Amino acid sequence: MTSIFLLGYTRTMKTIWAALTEPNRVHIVELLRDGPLTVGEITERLGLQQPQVSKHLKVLSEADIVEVQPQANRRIYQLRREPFQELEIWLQSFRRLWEERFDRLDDYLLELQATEQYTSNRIEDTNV
Amino acid sequence: MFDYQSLSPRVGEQEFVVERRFNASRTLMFQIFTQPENLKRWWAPQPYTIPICTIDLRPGGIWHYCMRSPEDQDHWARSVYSEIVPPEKLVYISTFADEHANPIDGMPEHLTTVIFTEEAGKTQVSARVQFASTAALKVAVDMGMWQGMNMTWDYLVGYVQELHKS
Repeated sequence: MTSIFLLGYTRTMKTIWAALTEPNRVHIVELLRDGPLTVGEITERLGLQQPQVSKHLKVLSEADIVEVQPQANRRIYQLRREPFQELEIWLQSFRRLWEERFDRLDDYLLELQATEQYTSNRIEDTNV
Repeated sequence: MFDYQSLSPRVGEQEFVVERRFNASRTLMFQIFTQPENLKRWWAPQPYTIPICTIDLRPGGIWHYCMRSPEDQDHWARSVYSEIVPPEKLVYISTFADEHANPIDGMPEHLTTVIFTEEAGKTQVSARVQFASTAALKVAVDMGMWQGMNMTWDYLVGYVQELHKS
């Protein structure tokens, strides 16, 4: 099951990840966590030029991280939940991968030690 | 709209630590983590196997392996060791790769630190996994809270099935 998550990642999450690796875009996402904002409000809080902000918002919206709500003559940006749920699920799956790995390691150790026990018993038998 | 009321104050889980105590010396545990013939036996998630695994155990050296699905689909991963202190510590950076150990573009790298601590013949193994884009992941985890931590296994199973269909 965990492995399926890892493969699922390769198909669906490359764009999300790429979009979120740029610091200004992460900053925008952090701002939008507190609620929807207009381009003007985002520009003001980031202290960047509006064309730059618009460029970042374009990338975020192409990655389906944000969506636009036209409201009268303003464009309000807000976060979409799904990409973040995917990231969260992926992270949890990674942790689970390690838990399961440790389970298998436990079994493997028992196997190793059983063989060792068997071998040392044999040696003792031979000595007798 | 999101339910902002359910936002959790919990922050900063861009990394995780998984620990387990094993009934073996740390010399043995270190070997089990660093020798291909050992790793092939337990490293791959079920039902995958590891038909190929090579390890160049030195700082800057590469650990490259193939995970094969029951349908004979191969997925390669590679890690580059950054620190090796036998039998106490291993640090490496991992990502998905091709069969020639070239990393696949756009995949996140993650840093793993494995610490082996021996106590009365048993060994505590602690694996810390950190993602390269920690800022991004921190945001991701915070936002995951909107869904709440009540995400059940059933939900995950459904999600996997969806992924499988797409």
